[in-house]
Amino acid sequence: MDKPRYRTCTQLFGSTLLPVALSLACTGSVDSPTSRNQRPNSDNAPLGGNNGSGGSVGTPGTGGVGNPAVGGASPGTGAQPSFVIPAGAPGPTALRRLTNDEYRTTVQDLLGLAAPPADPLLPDTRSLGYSNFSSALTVSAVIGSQYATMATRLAGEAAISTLAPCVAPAAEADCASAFIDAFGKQVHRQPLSAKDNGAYRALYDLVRTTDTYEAGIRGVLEAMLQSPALLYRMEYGAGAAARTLSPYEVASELSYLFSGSLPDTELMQAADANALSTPVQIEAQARRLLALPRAQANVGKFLEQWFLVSDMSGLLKDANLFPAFASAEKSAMEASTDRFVASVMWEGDGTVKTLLSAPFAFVNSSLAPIYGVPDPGMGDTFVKTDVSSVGRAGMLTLPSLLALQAKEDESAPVKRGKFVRTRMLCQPLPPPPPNVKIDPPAPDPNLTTRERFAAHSASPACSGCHSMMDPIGFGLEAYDAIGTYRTVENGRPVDSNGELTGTDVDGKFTGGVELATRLSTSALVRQCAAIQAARYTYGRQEIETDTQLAAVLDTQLGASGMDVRELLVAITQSASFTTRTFVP
Amino acid sequence: MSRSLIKRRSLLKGLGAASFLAVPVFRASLAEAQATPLRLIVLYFPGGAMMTKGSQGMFSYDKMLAPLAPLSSDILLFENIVEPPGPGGSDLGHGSESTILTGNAGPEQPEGVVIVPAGLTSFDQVVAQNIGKNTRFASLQFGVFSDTADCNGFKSSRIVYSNGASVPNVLDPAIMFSRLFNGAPPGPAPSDADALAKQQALAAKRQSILDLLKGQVTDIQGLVGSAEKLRLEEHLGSLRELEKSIMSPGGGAGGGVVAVPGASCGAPSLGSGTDVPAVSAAMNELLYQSINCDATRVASLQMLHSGAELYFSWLGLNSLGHHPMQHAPGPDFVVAQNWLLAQLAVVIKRLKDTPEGSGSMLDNSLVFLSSEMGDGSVHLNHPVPVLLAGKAGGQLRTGRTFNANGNNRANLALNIGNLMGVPLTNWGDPAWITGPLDLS
Repeated sequence: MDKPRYRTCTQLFGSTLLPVALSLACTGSVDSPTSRNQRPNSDNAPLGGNNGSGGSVGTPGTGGVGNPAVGGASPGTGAQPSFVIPAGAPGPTALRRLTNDEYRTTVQDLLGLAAPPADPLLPDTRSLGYSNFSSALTVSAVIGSQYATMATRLAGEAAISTLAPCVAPAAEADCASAFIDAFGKQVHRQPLSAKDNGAYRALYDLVRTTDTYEAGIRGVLEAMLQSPALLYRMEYGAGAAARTLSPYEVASELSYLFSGSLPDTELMQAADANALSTPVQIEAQARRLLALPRAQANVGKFLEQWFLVSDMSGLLKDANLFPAFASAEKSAMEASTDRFVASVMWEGDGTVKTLLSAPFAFVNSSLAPIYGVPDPGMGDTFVKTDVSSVGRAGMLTLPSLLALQAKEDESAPVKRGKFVRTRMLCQPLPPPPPNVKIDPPAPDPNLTTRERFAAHSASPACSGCHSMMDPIGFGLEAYDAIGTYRTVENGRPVDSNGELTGTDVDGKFTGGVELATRLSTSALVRQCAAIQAARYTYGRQEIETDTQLAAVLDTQLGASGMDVRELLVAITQSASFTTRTFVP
Repeated sequence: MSRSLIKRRSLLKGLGAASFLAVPVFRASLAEAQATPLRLIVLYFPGGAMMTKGSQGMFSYDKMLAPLAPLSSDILLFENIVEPPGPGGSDLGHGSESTILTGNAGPEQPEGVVIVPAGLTSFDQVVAQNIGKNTRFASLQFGVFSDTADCNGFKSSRIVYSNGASVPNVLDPAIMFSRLFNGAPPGPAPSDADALAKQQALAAKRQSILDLLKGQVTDIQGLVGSAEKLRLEEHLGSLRELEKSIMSPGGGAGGGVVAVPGASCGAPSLGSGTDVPAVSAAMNELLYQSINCDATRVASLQMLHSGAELYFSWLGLNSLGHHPMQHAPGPDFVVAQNWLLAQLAVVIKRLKDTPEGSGSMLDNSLVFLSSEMGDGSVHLNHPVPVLLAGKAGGQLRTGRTFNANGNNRANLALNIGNLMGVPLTNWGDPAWITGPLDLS
């Protein structure tokens, strides 16, 4: 462990993702480069560059995507898959604890409840903005006891006559066995092993010796609802180092990706029949699941985690400056975001391009002043409104996103610039160099935020990396701490001139609309979308195969703006969806 | 958009004043093994404490440490103790709190990514794994405030690690309250045979469920890789802890808790739970009660996380959040640090004010208090503020300062392990560990 090593911006930006060479580097205490981003382009056939495997790839960019079920009508026996994806080294085996949302929904489905149970669960630890990274989720003592409490309550209240009916002349023992077989298969998401079956049966027998049939079933339920087989999804397959996932593991992978819950009957039947192994079979299921209502919430969850707008609950703003934020505006922003995402995904073309450039927003009375449009006069009801003439375009200019990427009392050009770099372009930035005194300028009533921060980009110790963030963030200066459009700050005109560098859409721009429009045509942004989808699908940081896949998918989906629904289907078509490398 | 399904306010309302009255007064029955058990309490605040000018590496009780001055006779204050930079850039300050209890800088990794080295265990958890068997909870993690959704990675925001996983703090007093106090209270052994039989049957069922679950976790351990095998140890630990709450008939030797008439332990008031001072006060009280009632002997309290942007508005500090304040240090930052340390001082003082044996509860405890950096304005880790409080059952001489001469803070963990009767072996980053300090 010798001296600390810090990456330069140049090294970071020289990753395989970014074709544009950069001459910028962070200055300051920069030592020798790490080998982190200098992995040799691995031995397996390179995926990047032009995808040679066929101009025949049916890009379903138009056509069926409006209704994925239509697009999926043709895949079936004998059909060709819509995507041809060269194989790359698969990701590592994984033990994936369900997220709290997944657990609640799964339990809701298992027990046929009207709503997901709301018992307290310690919040999921997020990694890279996502709540489903397997490395961040464990069963700690606290959540373990919460699962137990929840399981006890749910088992006690469950409708046994529906879940495990037993009417004479059926023998209770047979009813119990039938319940354990059938319900246990749903809980474990695969047929029970003889050992597990026997253990559940022994538990039933134990309770039944002193209590009723119903109590025995409740005892089994209490165990099943906190079983590790329910709490964890295995992506392990079996065998040596290179492994193929079992059909049941694939069924769960598909189901949690699109539905956020356990596999439905059809998916389980497909797994039973070993009909989840070919790309065509998987594509048919993916398209079927994508057409179900639950996919809407789940795809929305992916997009909102990608853009870091999935949770505003902890966001505080200065109550003197923004008196209505906590009471009305924050919740309206969340709802407006949901509506926008749903509108683009399920009423529009569903593309990254539209997500970033759509001219409309959903406005209600409390958001109208923030958007700078007349009150639509419908109270809390949202009205789809053209906001292109008042400085808005797509996700990047949503008040929710801008308020989250801001401080309590003012805008935050650095934060916003960093957001665009890391979340939209997938270009990681190194931390500030060590021992550099960085003093954020204190508010000055006579200067604009930009004027105060300008000095900060002038310092040679900071300017290397800050030149990657600040010029982008300055372009969003026309939105204040809660995303209200403004042309004047502290009595002085707002300067929202910005500049993109180190991208495929470089150049000067003015304001959020121009920035968002520019980004909406960027191949880097589309590839970043694919990387984000891989993070969400696999619940881990991206690997080389994912960045290579991103380039391939851009060649297949990029021309039409990268349909997010097609992107998710395409990811299931990669060999790495069904294979893993065992990590001993 | 996912929103918290549980609204803290409504939960607190549900735990109204009336329910406090119904809460059983309890004290762990398994404590009888040791007349005066030793406890380990870890206290953490971010942002550091500045050195006194002119004395390189020296901390003193003026300025930031002022709230601790009244307790100085119970404190061993360290001078010139450091944390050297590691490969992950720990002297960046940002997020280096993960190294404090683990003695391990970990791998270099992007900000916001959770990659915890396989098997990594902080020293408090090593101690808990050994001495925690005798109490209802092997350890408890209290937190006061976190505003981070994205940075719960190894490199920031968490201080406690076990078997390669970060151990989350409980930030909601209501959840900690129900964890501590809402377990099935042990009644007297039922006099009629029916009730007794029911109680026995319930205990048998619960034990049987836990046995089944432990078997399933163990089966999965046989399928997965070594890092995940260790992480599943956390799950097994959780099940073993549940096992302790199973009442044997009459609440006897089967575990759990029994009432001790007259013992000064019981349910505290939670405060409103909606603002930081109230949460801090509630967590402070809950921590004290958990120790006082011998529900656990290992606890940690993390005030904030490194890099928090929290505004200390209750102190009238509205111009900068906690982290930006460090970069523009001035009188406000001293006020903020004083407030954080005053909260932690209360924990120590409560123990000191509780008589136990011929001395105080603090005399039979070991408190480790530290921060992720020294001078917050430059995010330096040379030196870092560190102090021990309490006499660890008469083993530690307090009321003095100790010059560590540039030794690594990680080595002090070896002293702590020894004082707690749990020597640390194969612990920490080998590049950092040279041996315990000579504290004689």
